[in-house]
Amino acid sequence: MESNELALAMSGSALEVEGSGKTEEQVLKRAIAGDRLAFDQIVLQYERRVLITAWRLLGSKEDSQDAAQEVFLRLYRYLDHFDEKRPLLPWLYRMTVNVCHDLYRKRRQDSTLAAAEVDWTTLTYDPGVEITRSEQRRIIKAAIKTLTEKERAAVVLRDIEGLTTKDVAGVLGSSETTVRSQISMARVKIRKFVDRFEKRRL
Amino acid sequence: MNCLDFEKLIALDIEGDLPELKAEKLGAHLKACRNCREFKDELRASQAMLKSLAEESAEEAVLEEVRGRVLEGIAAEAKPPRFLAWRFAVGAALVTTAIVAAVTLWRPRTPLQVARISQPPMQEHPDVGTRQRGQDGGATASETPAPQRGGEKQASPEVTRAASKASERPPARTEKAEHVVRRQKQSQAPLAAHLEPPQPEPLTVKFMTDDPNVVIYWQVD
Repeated sequence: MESNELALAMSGSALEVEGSGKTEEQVLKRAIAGDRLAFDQIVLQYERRVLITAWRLLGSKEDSQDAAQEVFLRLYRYLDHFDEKRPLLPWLYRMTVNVCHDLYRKRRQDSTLAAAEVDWTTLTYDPGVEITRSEQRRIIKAAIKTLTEKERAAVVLRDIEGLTTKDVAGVLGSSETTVRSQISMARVKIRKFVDRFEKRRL
Repeated sequence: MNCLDFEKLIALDIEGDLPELKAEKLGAHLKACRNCREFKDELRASQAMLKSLAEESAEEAVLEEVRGRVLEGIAAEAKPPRFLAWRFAVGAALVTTAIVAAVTLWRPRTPLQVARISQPPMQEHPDVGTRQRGQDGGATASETPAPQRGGEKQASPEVTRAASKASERPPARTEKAEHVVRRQKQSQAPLAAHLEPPQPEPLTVKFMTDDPNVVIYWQVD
C-alpha cells in the first residue's frame, strides 16, 4: 500500500478491497451482516500489515503471529459495534498496539532486549568491510527493542508504517505533542545505539 | 537551550515534524554548532536504516498460517447472524420483563395463619408434661392451656413450630391458603396411655391452594 493509499485508508475514503471489486465500506457492511466471505476478504486485505506491525512492535515472529490472530478474532467479535462508514485501518492499528502491549507485558522478561544483550559477535567488525543491509536491519531492530513501549509504538507507526503524527496520536490515544516527544526520544536513542555499534567496529 | 535540547529538535526536524517557529530557531543554532550539524547527518543515516525496515515483508507461508488460525478461531466461535442475535435479545428482554412483573405484582390476598387443631380433649400423661416442659421452657402439663370452646384447642408449641416452619417456605400458589393441621387419631385406650409413654405423634400439615388440583401435605414427626 503506497503512502497516498494509506492516507486514504486512514481518512476513511473509499478504498477498494483487493480483488473484491468493492469498497472497504461495502465489504465491511456485508461482514457486519454476517457474511463470512466478506470477513475473509478483510483478513486478506490487512493481515500483512497487522502481522508486520506486530512483528516490529514485539520483535518476535511467533509472538507477532499470536498477536495478528488475536487482532482479527477481536475484529470478528466486535464487528457488531462497527460503523461501516468509519475506516478500519486505524482501528486495526490501535488493536494491534493494544494486543502487542498485552503480549509484551505477558512475556516481558523474554522479549525485552537490552543493549547489553545484543549478540554483537555475529555482526561484521572489519572496518574495511561494509556492513550488509541485513546487518543494518538487525542493528536497527536491536535498537528498537531498547525503546520504551510507547516510544516503540510511536516510531514504528510514524517512521516505518508511514502514518502522520496526527494519525499516530489518534491510534495511540495521545496528543500530537506527546507523540512528537516520543518520536523525538526514540530517534535520538536509535541514533545513539547505532553510534555505539560503529564505535565498537573501530 | 543546550545541544542536548537541540538534538531533540533535530530528531523532529529531520522528518518535518518540527513546527516552523522552532525550525527557524534550530536553523540558527545549526549554523553556529558543528557538533549538532554532525549529529544531524548521523541521524539522517540512522533514519534511513530505520525506514528500510518498511521494505521487509512477511512470508506468504507465515501469513497463511495466521489466516488459518484466525479462521479456525472464528469457526470455534461461530455466532448467529446479527438479525438472529436481535431476536434472541428481544425474546430474552420480554421474558425478563414478564418475570419481574409477576414477582412485583403478585401478593397473597390472605395472610398465612397458624392452624388451629380440631381434636378431642385428651388426657395428658405425666411424662408428656415433663417432655413439654423440657421443650417449652418450663410449662407443665397443668399449665397447658385448657381446651377452647367447641372442643378446639390452641396448637401445641410443636405444632406451632411446624406451622411456622411451613410459613417460612416460599408461599407459592398459596392464595387463600387454608392450613389444616390434624393430629392423627390417638389411641382411645387411656389405660395403654398410662402404661407406656406415648410416642411422638406425627403431624400432617395440609396446604390448600387456589388450584383444587394442587394440595400440599407436609408430615412432621
